[in-house]
Amino acid sequence: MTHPSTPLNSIKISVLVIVYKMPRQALNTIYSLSVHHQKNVRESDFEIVVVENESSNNLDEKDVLAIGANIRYFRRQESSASPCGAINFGLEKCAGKSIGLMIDGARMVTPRIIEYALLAQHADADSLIAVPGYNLGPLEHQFHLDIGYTEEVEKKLLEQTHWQQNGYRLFDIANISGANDKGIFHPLLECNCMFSSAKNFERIAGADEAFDLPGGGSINLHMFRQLGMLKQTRHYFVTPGEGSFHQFHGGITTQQASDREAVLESHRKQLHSYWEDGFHALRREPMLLGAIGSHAQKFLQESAAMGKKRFNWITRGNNARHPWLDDVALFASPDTSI
Amino acid sequence: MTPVMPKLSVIVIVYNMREQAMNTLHSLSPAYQKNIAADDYEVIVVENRSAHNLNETDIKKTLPNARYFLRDEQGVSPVHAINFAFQQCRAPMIGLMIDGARMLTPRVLEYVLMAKRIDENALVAVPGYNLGPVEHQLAAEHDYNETIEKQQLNNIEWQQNGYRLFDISSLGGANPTGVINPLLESNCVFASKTSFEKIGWADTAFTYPGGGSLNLHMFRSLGMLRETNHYFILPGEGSFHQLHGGVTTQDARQQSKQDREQMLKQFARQINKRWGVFSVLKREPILLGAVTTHAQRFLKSSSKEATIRFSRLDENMTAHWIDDLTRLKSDRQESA
Repeated sequence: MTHPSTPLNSIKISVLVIVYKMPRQALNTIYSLSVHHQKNVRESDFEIVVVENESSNNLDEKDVLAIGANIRYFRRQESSASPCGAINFGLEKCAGKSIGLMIDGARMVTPRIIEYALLAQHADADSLIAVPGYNLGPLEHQFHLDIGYTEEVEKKLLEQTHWQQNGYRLFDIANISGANDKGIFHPLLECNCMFSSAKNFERIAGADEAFDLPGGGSINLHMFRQLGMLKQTRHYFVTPGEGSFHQFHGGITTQQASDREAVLESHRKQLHSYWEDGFHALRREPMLLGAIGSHAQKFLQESAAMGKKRFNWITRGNNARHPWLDDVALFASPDTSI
Repeated sequence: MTPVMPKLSVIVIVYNMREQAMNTLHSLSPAYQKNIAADDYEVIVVENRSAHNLNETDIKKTLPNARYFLRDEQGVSPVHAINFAFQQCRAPMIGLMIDGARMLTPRVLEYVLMAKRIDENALVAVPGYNLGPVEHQLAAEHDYNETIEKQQLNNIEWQQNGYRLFDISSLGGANPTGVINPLLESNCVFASKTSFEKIGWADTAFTYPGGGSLNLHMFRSLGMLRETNHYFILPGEGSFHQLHGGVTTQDARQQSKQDREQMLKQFARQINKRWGVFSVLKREPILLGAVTTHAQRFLKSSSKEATIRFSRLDENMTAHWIDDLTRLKSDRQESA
């Protein structure tokens, strides 16, 4: 299924996109990752590895491959409701020195994420890069029923932005995601578009298949923290001018359902059982990387304001502590500054 | 001892500012700069002789990786001192600090080496700030003076945490609307030796006091080179001007207003003659580096100012970063 024009050994980055039952959204995602949309990179620099767990509503392979010459598509049978098997299958297929993991194929990205992942790779082959998350529409998607937000509404919004011409307009129709709802200067809980070296993904042994709850439960939070807590991950970058944008679909934690709290509680329990001192968002100081266009400025301002608040609160008073405790835990002399 | 070849040479030009220059040199020292080894860089200190010269022994104590040169200069411009300094640089990447009175934050050199790993011909600009509440030519009107500045520097114990310099500073005249809008110049700028060579080093026609607009000319020349594909700004770092009798930053009361305006006009005439009309560097900066709590307020105000500029340009249907387009055009012409 590999396109003959892309020799595997020259690939610098593989982006792994996991898909289940969301063909329309996934095609947007794949297009947003392709060279038609990504700037300042060559098609031969990276590949897009799409792994789909078969459902009643699959992607059409022809449609996927028509988007670009650097795309590989795999459809597989999966009996579990978790994407962990698909992730591990996909990691095996990735030929790049770095891998970008997108556990949810419904997330479109802005035009310079591949370029910046490449820059970070030059700065440090084992760096971790987090692209902040947003939701299309006015609110987080689990509240969609409350405000009458539907796929049709979102489709119209997307059409109006002509995002294919300028992907940064996605910021104009989005809100900040729950994974980073206090902005980029607060510790990130997870990242739905994260890049690290293939070696680092090996070091954490891929996705732990014990996370067998629907959607993988908290597997993505677990992997993000695992990558961030590797000694080899000396440099942790966040791209303040780029984003991954969740499209509305029937995802496990992003749809509005009455049993959502119970589902989340089971996820939490499983996650905390893996981390000795309980699970934490990644408390490492992010290094910013990348330009910030006009569309993302409002989110930067909010981040700076909320970052300032956090610093004030955390570094004063009786319980004052280092704002980036995981840097302190990891390195004898942390790179950070306060 | 085998000399280790440094990755980075930093030039500091000094004239008649002993105390300020020693602060600057401390801020460049391996003890203060983080995540970089002394062997990774050298500091080339070139001083034009005055009544108040630096003491070489003191320099070596602070900066074991410094090389100090005291020279006699007939003219009033630093241009020859700069070119002399370029000749001393051993590293493939060079930082130019035309005014020895500018102290730095602790991760400037780390990020410059990072930028160099990304692109050996990267251009890196460190935003400028003034210690105190206002630009230094207005200091006296605001009852700000060297004694107050010294007091404030003592109070914040900047040697322990250089980011506290942000707490006692204001935005510099080179970037009065923040670090995301176009910069007029940078008083702490890094580029490859090849790039400096390509722009002809420091142009010796800039003979006015302080070099006149030499630094602006060099900054734009570097930015418009086709080689400098990546233009980085460090939003969480800064170069902080200390009050001293600099040519454009000294107390306006010591200079009549008329004299100062006359002088600035001369500077402008010279640089406009070079460029047709001289402009700030309208290239989109790639931000690089962490932003500590101390710099957050400047990042926030920079973002607000950038939004104002973007809106204005959008209304006029004007490109946000016209120099990026100009560079590409000249690339096409050259390769055609």
